[in-house]
Amino acid sequence: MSNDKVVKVALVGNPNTGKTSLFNQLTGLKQKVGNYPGITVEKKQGVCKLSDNIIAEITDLPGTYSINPTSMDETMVLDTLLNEKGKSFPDVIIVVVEIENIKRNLLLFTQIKDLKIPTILVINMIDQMKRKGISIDVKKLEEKLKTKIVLVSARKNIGKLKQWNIQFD
Amino acid sequence: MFKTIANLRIGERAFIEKLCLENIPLELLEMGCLPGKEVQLIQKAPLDCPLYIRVNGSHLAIRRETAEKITVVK
Repeated sequence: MSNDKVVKVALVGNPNTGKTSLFNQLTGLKQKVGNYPGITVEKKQGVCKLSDNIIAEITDLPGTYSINPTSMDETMVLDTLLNEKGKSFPDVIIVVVEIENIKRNLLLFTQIKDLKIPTILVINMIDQMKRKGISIDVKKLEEKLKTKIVLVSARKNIGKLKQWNIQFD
Repeated sequence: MFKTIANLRIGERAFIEKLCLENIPLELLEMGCLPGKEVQLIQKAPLDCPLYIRVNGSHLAIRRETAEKITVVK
């Protein structure tokens, strides 16, 4: 067990994008989720086995529209992401956006990219894609944003996300 | 007389022209309420406050005094 490599992962994104649902899926924990923003107000941590000898320590952070802190929980997001010596300082950041509001999430996304920490963009709630008549050109988006993109539905499957985390080593 | 979001009729769309950074909550800007973006008034509560608007793909409720500080053009 102590030979396992540990990858520290932080989940960020606008409120109500499904970060905590994703966190629960990955870690097997049952953190509280709700349909309105402001449910996650402190950081939650859990672990997820990515492969035989790699473990991810995942931190679920409160939702925020930008890194500019306007409340206590946003301040905590900022502290976690800027404090390189901190225990939760991530090796990889996952920005979770939901299918209908990718545009609005771009502000936070660009701020995260500016931190120069390896970043994956996860587009969540893709089970709603058909219903909402939305289609995404993933390749093109990856080119434009210069970031790996993974489509998931936290309610349905998350297998691919684990693979991409491993790739980041 | 400038036209502001508070002057829009229900269902009416317009483009944001100007807003004074000191008077507008930062979160509004972070959500994409910026010059050049299209805004639509969806609904008004009684007494015109709050106003329910759609901007940048998001639905927001804003106070009338905030709406009066955002000028729009067609």
